[in-house]
Amino acid sequence: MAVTAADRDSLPQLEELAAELLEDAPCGIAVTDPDGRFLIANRILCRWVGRCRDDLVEKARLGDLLTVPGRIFLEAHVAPMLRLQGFVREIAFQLVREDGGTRPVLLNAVVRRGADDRIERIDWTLFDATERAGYEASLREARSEAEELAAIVRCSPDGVIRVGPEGLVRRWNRGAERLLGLSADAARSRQIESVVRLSRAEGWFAEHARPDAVAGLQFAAALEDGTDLEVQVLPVNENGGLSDPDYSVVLRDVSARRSAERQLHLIMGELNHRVKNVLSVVLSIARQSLTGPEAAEFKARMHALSQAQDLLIGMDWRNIGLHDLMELTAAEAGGADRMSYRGPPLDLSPKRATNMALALHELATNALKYGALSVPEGRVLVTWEAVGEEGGRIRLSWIERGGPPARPPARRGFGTRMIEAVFAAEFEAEVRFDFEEQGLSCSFEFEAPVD
Amino acid sequence: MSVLERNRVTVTGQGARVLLFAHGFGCDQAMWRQVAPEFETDHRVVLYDLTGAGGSDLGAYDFARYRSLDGHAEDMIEICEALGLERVVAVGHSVSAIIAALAAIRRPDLFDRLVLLSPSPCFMNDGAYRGGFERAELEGLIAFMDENYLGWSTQLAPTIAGQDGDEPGAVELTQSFCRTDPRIAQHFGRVTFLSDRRADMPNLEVPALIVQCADDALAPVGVGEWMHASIPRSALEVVDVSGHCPHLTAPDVTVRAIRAYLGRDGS
Repeated sequence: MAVTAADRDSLPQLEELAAELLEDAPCGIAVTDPDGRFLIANRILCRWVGRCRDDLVEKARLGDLLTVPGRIFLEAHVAPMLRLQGFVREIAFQLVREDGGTRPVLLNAVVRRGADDRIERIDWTLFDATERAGYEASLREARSEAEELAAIVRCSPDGVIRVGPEGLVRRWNRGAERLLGLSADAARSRQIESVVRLSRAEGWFAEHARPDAVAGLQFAAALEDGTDLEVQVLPVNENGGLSDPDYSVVLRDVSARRSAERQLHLIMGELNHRVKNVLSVVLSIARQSLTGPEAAEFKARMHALSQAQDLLIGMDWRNIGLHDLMELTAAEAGGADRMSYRGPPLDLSPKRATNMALALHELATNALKYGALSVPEGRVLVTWEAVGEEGGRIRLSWIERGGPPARPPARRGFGTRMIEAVFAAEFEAEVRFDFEEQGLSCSFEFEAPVD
Repeated sequence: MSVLERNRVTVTGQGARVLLFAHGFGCDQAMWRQVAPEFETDHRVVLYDLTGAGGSDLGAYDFARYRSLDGHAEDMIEICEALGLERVVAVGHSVSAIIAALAAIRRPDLFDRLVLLSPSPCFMNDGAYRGGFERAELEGLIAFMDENYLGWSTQLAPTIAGQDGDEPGAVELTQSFCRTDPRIAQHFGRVTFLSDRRADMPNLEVPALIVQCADDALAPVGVGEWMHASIPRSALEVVDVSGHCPHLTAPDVTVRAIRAYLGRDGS
């Protein structure tokens, strides 16, 4: 069928079509003079910035529709590019609406030149980039997070190494380069144990690389050159256990700390030596100055003190278990046959332990002289248990049985006074003495030490 | 790498007098392509890229050295020394006008006079001084440049091969001008727009011509006037040109202004 003239007339003319497209194309379109002053602005662009055409054409410039940073960028970077290469593509800007709101757009432009090569006009197209801007913002955030975290690993003095499940080095930071004197390139793809050679730790990687390993487990090791290390091997679980994980190996140089510890140990040894020397000097002075029963008592007390010191030294001046102190006292009392004790494990600070040792010594001495231990069939039982709300207090009892009836002393001797003073000062406890027919009972309560 | 390679220095033209051109922020020595050739008949013409821009050695961009404009001023001095130049006429645009001034304050012996094109010693408003922008707006530029991270980086430039004749040479024209490493662009942007070198300007003893565009969105006329009032041996010429880059938008006007100034006595 032939096309009639009437059919042709019903199609829009090219000019009309172009005009319609210019107005309603799904993008902002503008034409400006070489300085950016509007000659044409389409309906979409006017709507995006909330201004009517008459406000723009011949009055405003493209830069006026942008944020201030955008305007600077347009002048300093885009304008020279347009002059030099004749076009720009996909530059991200924010259009500013009259009400102050913004719309992200991507801007393209082409320079049109006349026959004399002078710039006649610049054609601009602007695409709405609202969704793309949001997506790019999250990309940027992810990028900067990754870069910032990576910078920490890069700058860390620790050797941080990523190892594949088969034990081959994948990544090796600068800290590892320094610590091991091997570049990342040289270390890559080599067996971790052949490049991190720990002395006396054959098979250390296989031993510690476990998919279920948890944080907080380190082991001490040393390099063959003597550098002391703390080593941590942890799985990098990033795919929910779908495949064998890689491992992070973190090597921390603790040589300085170890050397400080060794130094401290040396000083402690020296100090202990001197304390014991002082005690023996005091003892020899006492031997020469005192006579009679006081001398023996004093020596026994010094002995108890010295034993408590020995315990503390053995423990590097850390906490001492009450059981250990009881063992000393039981020995003094004549062995397990004469004195027994029971109670839960309980640690005492060095200061409390020293005082407790002295107080127990006084009780034992008293029992040996006047109490249950002064006759063969007498016994001492010491018990302690948690009491009070939530077991926050400890009650300790010293009970003598099978000896002569207990009588309050005619005068309060040094022993009693010392027991009371010690418990009051160091344990904030009041001591209760019960002088009964079956024998002496002594008890006191104190705050349980907090771990 | 030599200084000349580091800054992709090119020397053309012949003549007793040396013109050294320094481009501004956001571009490279290509900015001078309509101005520099006009002087080649009777001058030695030296062009270079600031370290971190264009075809300079990006690996030489030491973030500590270039944390202030002094690093770039050192570069300019090093280039003059490497070429054995004397009585140099330095033509600096925008931030490089300030760089040229700093170089001439340090080494007045090297420079005959300066041409400062659209200079701004401080883009920030400060009391009576109107640099043109509030500090927060300039800080916003740094974030803005981060948003255009993709736009800066050459490797991600869109390929436009196979398009129409408006863009000849298709593949090589992938926005290859004025590009650099985005991190460097951002760093140099911060140094350019947040620097305040007003205090240095009165120390410039070398004579200087200030070329100020009548309608410049980045360096308003008031800034040109401030420069003229602060630099002892300065002349001010306000040209009837729009924009911040007269050497691109009105190369003939720019060439005329420079020639007229060179024709004057050096006194």
